[in-house]
Amino acid sequence: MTNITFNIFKEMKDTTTGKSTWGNVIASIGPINAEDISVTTTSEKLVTKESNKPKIIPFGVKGQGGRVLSFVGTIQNRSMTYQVVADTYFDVLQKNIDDELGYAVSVTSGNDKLPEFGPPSARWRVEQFNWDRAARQMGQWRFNMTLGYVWDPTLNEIKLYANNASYDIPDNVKFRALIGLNNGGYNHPDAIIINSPKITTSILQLNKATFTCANQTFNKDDIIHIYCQTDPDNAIFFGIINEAPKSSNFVTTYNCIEIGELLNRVMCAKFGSGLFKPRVKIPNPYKGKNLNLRSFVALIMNYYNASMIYNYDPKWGNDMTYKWGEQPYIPYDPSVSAPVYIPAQVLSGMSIYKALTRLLEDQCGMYIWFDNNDGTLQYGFIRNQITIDPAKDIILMSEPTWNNTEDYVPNNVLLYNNEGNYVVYPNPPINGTYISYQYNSSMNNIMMDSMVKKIHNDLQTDRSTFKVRFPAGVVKFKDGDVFTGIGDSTTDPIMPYRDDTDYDPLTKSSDTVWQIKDMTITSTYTEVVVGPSYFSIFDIFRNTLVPVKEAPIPTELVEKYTSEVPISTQAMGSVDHVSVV
Amino acid sequence: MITLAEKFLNISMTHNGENGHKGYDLIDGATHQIKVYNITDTRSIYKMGVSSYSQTVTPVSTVLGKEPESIKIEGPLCKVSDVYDTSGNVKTNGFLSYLAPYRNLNTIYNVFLPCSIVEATSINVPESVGTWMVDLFKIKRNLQKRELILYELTLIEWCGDLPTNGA
Repeated sequence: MTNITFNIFKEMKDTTTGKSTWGNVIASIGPINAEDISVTTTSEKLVTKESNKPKIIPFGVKGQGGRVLSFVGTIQNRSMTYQVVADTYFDVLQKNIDDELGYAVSVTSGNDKLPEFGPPSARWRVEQFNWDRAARQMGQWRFNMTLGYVWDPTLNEIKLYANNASYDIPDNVKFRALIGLNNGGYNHPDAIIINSPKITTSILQLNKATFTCANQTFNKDDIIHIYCQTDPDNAIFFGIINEAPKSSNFVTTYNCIEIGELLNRVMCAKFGSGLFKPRVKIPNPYKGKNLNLRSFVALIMNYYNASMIYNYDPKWGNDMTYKWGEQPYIPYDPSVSAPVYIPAQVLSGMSIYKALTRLLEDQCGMYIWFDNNDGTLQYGFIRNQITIDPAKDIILMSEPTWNNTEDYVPNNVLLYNNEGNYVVYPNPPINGTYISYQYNSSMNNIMMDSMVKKIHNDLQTDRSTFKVRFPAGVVKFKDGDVFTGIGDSTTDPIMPYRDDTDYDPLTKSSDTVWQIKDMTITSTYTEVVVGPSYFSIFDIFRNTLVPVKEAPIPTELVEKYTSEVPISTQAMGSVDHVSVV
Repeated sequence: MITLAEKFLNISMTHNGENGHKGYDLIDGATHQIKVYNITDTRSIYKMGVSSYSQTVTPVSTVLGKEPESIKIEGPLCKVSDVYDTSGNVKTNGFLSYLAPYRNLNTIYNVFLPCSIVEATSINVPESVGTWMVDLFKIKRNLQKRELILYELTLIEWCGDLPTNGA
């Protein structure tokens, strides 16, 4: 009969991946008497209990304590004497080592008597160990071990996921920060490990990041790139530490804002010796020719180029629409409105960033981005296309979020302009519900008819948004990106699968895809909020088109002459400088 | 005796052949027949309460929903000698042989896999009938009869329908 023997393995850690291996046998202990043994495997799941039917999302097993083996035994024929060798290795951390590395156990012979340990290739990490001696048993050395199972990521043992998935996420996802303008990468020798990172990005605001360090390694106004070990060549954040570091309990916290913030520190103004002209204008048309959008952006960036700070060069602006940059018009949907030339821009007392947001966001309805690697300015409606890697980018869970759609889809839509004129769609209206909108600008009847029809259509499109969570280390997304295909049928309500390519976000709601509106990256998860890439009429006109509950009172302008001398009004402010192409 | 027909959710990011689509692609697993010594069926409410911090005000308790129903089953699994042969390999025609096509690592602690779905049928254990998810699986020795490995299985109610293959 084979005796039971334990092999003791020492943990070795790969310093670049953080992965542990347990290949080295360091001792052999036995023969062993087994007195009691049990193995417990527990699932990891999310249970939502707020209803008559709870919802369950299964995740697999717990990372800590997912499978635990409890063992009680003695060393055969030697249980009355102290065992130096056994005691050396029946421990939770290795002796004579500078790092926190442990021991693992496997049954090397006698598996037929201790099948609970599994095959000889199974590894069980010593999590807790105690020698138990009782006077009643004449001081017999009995030991209790609590062992944690070492999962083999290549085995897909639990069979929760499809076989083609290798969700081999690093044991601990590490982040590093590198000071300087250049994209040095995660493996740059000067990159510093940072802890508790949280990067929040949004299509409507500059990105922000916060992290901690044990020492005060960074200073206010340091320019940094932040990298994740899973994508070492591409930064996940590029910005500037914009607040003084805060120290507490020997930990320093840093708050950062995206590099585009530097454009807020420079004004659209002309400087020269003895000259300061902060009131500038970009005329349109210029010498009889209408400027295109790309030229406007370049002219604004020209002011920054003349006063570059920190050597940061966002260049002249990349048009991510590949269309509207070459056009002289405000982006529009030809089925609704006629083209309107981009108006002359008066940039009095504005920062570069404010001038860009006023033109691109407020007037053109676009988004502004800065490349994470080199800070290049980008603008458009949708950014890059992202394809899910089905072996790595698993959706952990998804749920719908609050969205600003109306509570109901109306049968009829009323639209008023700012003079109190109105149109209705369908015309004649049908019996049922109404929603009224007001467009705070003048508009002729033809345009109003087109707009009310588009409002009616857009109210029926699905504008719901979902929050989708990915594992740590999935960092290839950026705000504004669109997925070439994503959906989740495991949750209730289902997140519909969309995989078309949105050719023009301003038209055709039927080819909409999921676009990332907000994103949060931490060391334990990546979460995105996705919404439709389709630019509905509400996204185009934003605050100019508002729902109203009562009809605006029509007004009429009347001129009256009196005998009093009219008070003279000052003309619109004079300009100091006119940009030229 | 309870018969448990096992199914794996097989979470995939290419559900219906669509890249990026997370779904359950249900696949069939083994069919287990287990003997039962003990079974407990638990149902409880999920509620939130606010303490009154006073002798005159009653504490408020709001029922929000229901915990998933759970059953705990205990019984004998197999004999120790029925698992591995003396060379430490899985015994041919032993207890684990029925699981061989369904397990990437066929061993005694993988008889039931957490997060797998089981459809239970039984003539004399009616409380076990239904569709459940495996929450906890424990194996332990019978200290009176050390030759016997016992099991403890906790199942929770799988609410909602089972996805049909490819749906």
